[in-house]
Amino acid sequence: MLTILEAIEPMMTDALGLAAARSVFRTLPSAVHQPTGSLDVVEVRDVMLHLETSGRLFATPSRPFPAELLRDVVTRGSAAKPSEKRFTVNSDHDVLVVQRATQALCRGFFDTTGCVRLATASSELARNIYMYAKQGTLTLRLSDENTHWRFDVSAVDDGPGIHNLDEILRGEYRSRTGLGRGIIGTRALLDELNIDTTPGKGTRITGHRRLRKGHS
Amino acid sequence: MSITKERIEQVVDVMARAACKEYQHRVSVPDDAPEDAFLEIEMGMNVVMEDLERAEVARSRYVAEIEAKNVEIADRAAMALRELSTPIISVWDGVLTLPIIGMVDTVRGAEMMDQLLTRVSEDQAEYVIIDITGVSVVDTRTADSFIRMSEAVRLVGAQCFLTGISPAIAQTIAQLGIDTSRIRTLRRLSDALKVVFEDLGDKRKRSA
Repeated sequence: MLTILEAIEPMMTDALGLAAARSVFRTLPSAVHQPTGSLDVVEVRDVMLHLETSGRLFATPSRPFPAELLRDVVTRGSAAKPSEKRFTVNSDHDVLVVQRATQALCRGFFDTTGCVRLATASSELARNIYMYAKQGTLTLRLSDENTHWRFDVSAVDDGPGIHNLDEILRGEYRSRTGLGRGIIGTRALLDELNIDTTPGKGTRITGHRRLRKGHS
Repeated sequence: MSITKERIEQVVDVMARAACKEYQHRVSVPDDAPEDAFLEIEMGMNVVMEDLERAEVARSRYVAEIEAKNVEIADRAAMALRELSTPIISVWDGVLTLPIIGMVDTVRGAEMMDQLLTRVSEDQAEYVIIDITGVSVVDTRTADSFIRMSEAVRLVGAQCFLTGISPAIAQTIAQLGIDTSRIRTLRRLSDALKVVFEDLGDKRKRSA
């Protein structure tokens, strides 16, 4: 099976000339040694970002840089696998780790505002885990849905559960430590937020946001 | 006494333990052992084990020392970082600015509040400008700590401005539905300075 590097080499040489293509290859991320079509969305993003940046540097106006063709070769024409990251949350610091990871994951798929928005949403969920359940897991996922990019976040813990969920969702609750708006706020930041909680057993919150491609 | 299987096994046993980093074992040599060639091996083995044991003790002492030093260095670095993370600058008589950079967790929020209030009363500051240009994400908890900070500043008798809210953060705060009516926000640090100086000028005119 061809690695990405082997597959794109002739195209890059065609587009940029041998010398320029060689210097581009020297700085590519190590994912290019994987077979074509095996990368997840984030790895594809990183490889393409590299190729396009150097494409802009070296391409001549008479020979436009074949970014779309290269993308098809890298992904072998089909949607790339989703990229998923999982975090254990049990400290204040983990909340910041989740914030940063969300921004890193969404960069390039969502615009700056979108990334801040999603980072805030997952920060909110991570913060709730740490504050109320002490420990839990937060999963971030980015997937390619042909016409849309989709961001999924899920927060799972086996803490005390949320006993006054209705009150919180009506916006009547004022938290002692925060503003009591974490959950409704997060729901406003995402397309959909599902809360499944059992007092004494734990809480599972899942949410997602989609964005039509080419809108970022 | 000749070279028996037991004597050989004893030596092998000690070597095996040494390989597992247990250097405190010795080959037992009876006092009345005959002076044969194998005795020299047994004695030699014990000398080597003695050296190894001593070296091991010294090594673990060094490791402990280095670890203690590492902890000390990490503590000092954390302390320096904490101090650096709250750079309160007095830009004018009675005017303090606090540029916040990076991410704000609960501990940092509490420390910033602490140091800021101390400085406000020490310097008898009348104005405090908190600039969050360098903050990348503001969630309800962070927003809450900024709101509390500005209220606390007001309680100790100074005016507080919040500046440098990026469009992305502004949009997110609005979406979150956070009530920001209790804080005075301005676009840039320089806008806040302008307001402060105008205010100071007015006061001087009045007192003149």
